[in-house]
Amino acid sequence: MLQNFFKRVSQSPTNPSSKAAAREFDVADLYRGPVDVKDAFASAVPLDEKLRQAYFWIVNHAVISPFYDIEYNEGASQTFPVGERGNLVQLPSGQSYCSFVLMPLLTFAVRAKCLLVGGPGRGKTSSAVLMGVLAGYPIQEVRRAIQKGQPQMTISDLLGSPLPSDLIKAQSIDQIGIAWRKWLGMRVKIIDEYNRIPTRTQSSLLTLMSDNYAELYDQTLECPEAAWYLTANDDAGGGTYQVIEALRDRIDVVVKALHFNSRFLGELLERIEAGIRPEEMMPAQILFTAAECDQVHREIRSIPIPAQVLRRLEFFASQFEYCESAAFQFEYKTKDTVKLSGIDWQQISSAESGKDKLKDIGAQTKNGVSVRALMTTLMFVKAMSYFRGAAQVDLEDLRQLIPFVLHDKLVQDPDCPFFESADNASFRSDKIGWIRRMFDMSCAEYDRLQLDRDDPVLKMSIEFEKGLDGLEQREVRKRMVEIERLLKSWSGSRKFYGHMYDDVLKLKYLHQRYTNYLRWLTWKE
Amino acid sequence: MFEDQRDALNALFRSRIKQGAKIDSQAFAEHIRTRIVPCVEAISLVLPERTRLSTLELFEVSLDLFMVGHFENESKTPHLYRLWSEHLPKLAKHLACDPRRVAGSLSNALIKIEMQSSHTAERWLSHVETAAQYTESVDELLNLGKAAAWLSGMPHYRTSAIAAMRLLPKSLILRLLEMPLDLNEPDIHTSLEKMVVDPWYSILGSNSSDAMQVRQVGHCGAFVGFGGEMRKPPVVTANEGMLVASDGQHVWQIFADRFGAVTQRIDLSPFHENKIQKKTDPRLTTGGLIRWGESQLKRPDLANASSSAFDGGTFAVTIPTSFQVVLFAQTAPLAHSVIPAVKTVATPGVGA
Repeated sequence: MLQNFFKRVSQSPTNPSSKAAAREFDVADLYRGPVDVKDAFASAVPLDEKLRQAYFWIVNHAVISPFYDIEYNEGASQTFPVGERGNLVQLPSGQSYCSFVLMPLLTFAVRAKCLLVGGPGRGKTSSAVLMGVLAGYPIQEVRRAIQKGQPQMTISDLLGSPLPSDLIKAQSIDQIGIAWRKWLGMRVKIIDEYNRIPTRTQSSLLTLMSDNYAELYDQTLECPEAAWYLTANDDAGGGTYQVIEALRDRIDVVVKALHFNSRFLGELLERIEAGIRPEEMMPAQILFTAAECDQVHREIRSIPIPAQVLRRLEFFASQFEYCESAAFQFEYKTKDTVKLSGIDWQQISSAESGKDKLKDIGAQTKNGVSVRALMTTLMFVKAMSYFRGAAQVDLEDLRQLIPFVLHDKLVQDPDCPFFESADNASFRSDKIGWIRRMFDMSCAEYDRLQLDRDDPVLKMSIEFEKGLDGLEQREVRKRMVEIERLLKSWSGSRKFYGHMYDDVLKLKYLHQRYTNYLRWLTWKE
Repeated sequence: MFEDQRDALNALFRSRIKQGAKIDSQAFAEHIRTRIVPCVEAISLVLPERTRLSTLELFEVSLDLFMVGHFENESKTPHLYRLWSEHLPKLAKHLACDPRRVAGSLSNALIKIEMQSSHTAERWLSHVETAAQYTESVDELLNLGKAAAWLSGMPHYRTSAIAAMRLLPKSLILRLLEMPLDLNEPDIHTSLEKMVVDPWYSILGSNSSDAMQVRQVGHCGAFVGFGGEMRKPPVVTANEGMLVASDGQHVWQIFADRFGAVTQRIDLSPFHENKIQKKTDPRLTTGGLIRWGESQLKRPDLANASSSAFDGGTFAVTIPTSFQVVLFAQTAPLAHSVIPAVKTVATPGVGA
């Protein structure tokens, strides 16, 4: 029976590698009896398991999106070249996931902001609605709470209106009561076609998204921590209004709604004939209460990121900001300087010399990675590890997740020689593949430099972090000399890459801290 | 309302009959009309989109119950009838979220509680009815049910029920304990912790040594012919910190606290030993005087007791002419307990 099919939740453990929780006999025995209510103990299911059950219910029963583009392997996997260009089809040997379902779910878990892009009718809004239902809201409430972007949308439409009686009676502006819109208090917020919202209204949305409060007539409404889902038919500025950059920057991850695979038309037919809407059939045992959402968030934050994995991210992120021709002073040699100056990027980038532009991934972008993007990356990789039931973040988690976070953050320079090669031309349109390729190149470079084995800047940083208390002048001078020697060894090379730029700045920072300390020691003595 | 699901529901009913279930179709139709329909109607007002799923699940849960003979005779499980006809419709908010879990769990619980005592079932329903409206989720409701079971007179669940209670919001705990909501109780959780350790700890009453006196706090055990468990007048002893009673054929562990006293059968060798604790406190004299530190209690009806035992908190006494075990503790008056002692603690019926 089709209804029963929709009620079915994947059996635990959904990822057998993760540990199962032990259950003690207690008063819960009260609820065992003639009626089989195994689900009565659903609350005893670890929340990461519940999250996986929710994922598998959505991919198996709700969203027909048979794309396993987040690939994990356990051992060797099989690969098959297809087509004239020999495009590779890989059959992953580990549990792999569909980004269109997984990313919104991780967004729900970490209460982030997710942009779903893709053509009309690809299930973007439906996917967002499922997240609202997952948070325990009635389907009608979720649908009513969707903010539908349209050119006439006003701030009042979005936030609320002053009470008419107060407008007449009030002696001062703070006496005007506001009828806030109900959606502001929800833990899942959905903005449909956000690129059709007028620019002025976008600005009020920005305050809400960035600072989590709404403001009208000097009155503010603090909103609960929420997961945001924004949809857009065209991410490349094809909406009615240009999306303000600050708003775009607030979006944490971008997911593409892929096409409908016509091999699954039969499933669509079954749903039509049975009159079934999956979002109305979501099993209760995968719904998350507010307390459970808080708990999931806490548990995700506690997932550790090993130093080796963090170092790879540092190395990757450090390669994008450096721009040799941007400034005279070393600290300002950044792409940000170029952007703020308004100078044509082509003019600057063509002046870059001395580097292999095919190998330098920094040459492929027009900007660097922001702090917000890095924080989002850290949170999402933790969430990914949590979702997989792992005890700590794995390098593969970082590799798989980073393209979705940086999708709209890294601005590609399509004129970079890297994209001229036939093998790389497709990366001009495939941003996910492009960012993942850059990460792979970064890791290859990291391995070539043997930084896991020999990273003098890391050694100096660790030494410094032990503290300056009790350090004698002789030792301080010795460390300063070591910094100077290292800088001298680099100064002869003509090839100066982004990661070295960050290293040099770090060395300068350490040298300055030691200099200040040395001055203080001299004064003290 | 069931029109569009008629085929599915009929198929479900037929599949159960095929499995060999003997279900009176007329009684089931009456059950649908008087119990399922009110629930579904209530759900349709709260979460209309869950009506279809809820109908299906309530139908299945009902079949589960009919298959094992419930709903056949109202006098057999009167509280189950009340749960479905009066209480479940009021829980539509939770029922809509997870019909099988809510209806199934509460039905299972009520069947189990009713097997222990009709009074306990009555109290449990009353607790659930009073506090359920303040619960926010199904988990909260079920934790409330667990806590209510203990408060209704199931002391064997005390530790785990308190653990479930600690998951509830403070206001709900206060409602369950029938304490004022504005009670200046700095840490209700600390009190709950004390109740785990000390079965006679009183939240509202004084726990100072001045207020402590030896008092009768309950009784348990009854003649098998009157619906009890004992075939012969029992004797008691203390075994590894537990109070146990035996009628010579079977052994039961005695659980007692401020909210009730029960026996639970355990797998131990039966015993006939008749020991009276006369040398250490608490002690019982041949004349029926209980001495416990500075406090004492005269109970002539317990003169010539057949056995007594102490587990560190509760003092159990039996006499040769009764099927009951009488329980004493050094505690503040039970009138301060949440459930008035008079409901759970009757004057022990000495003599069968």
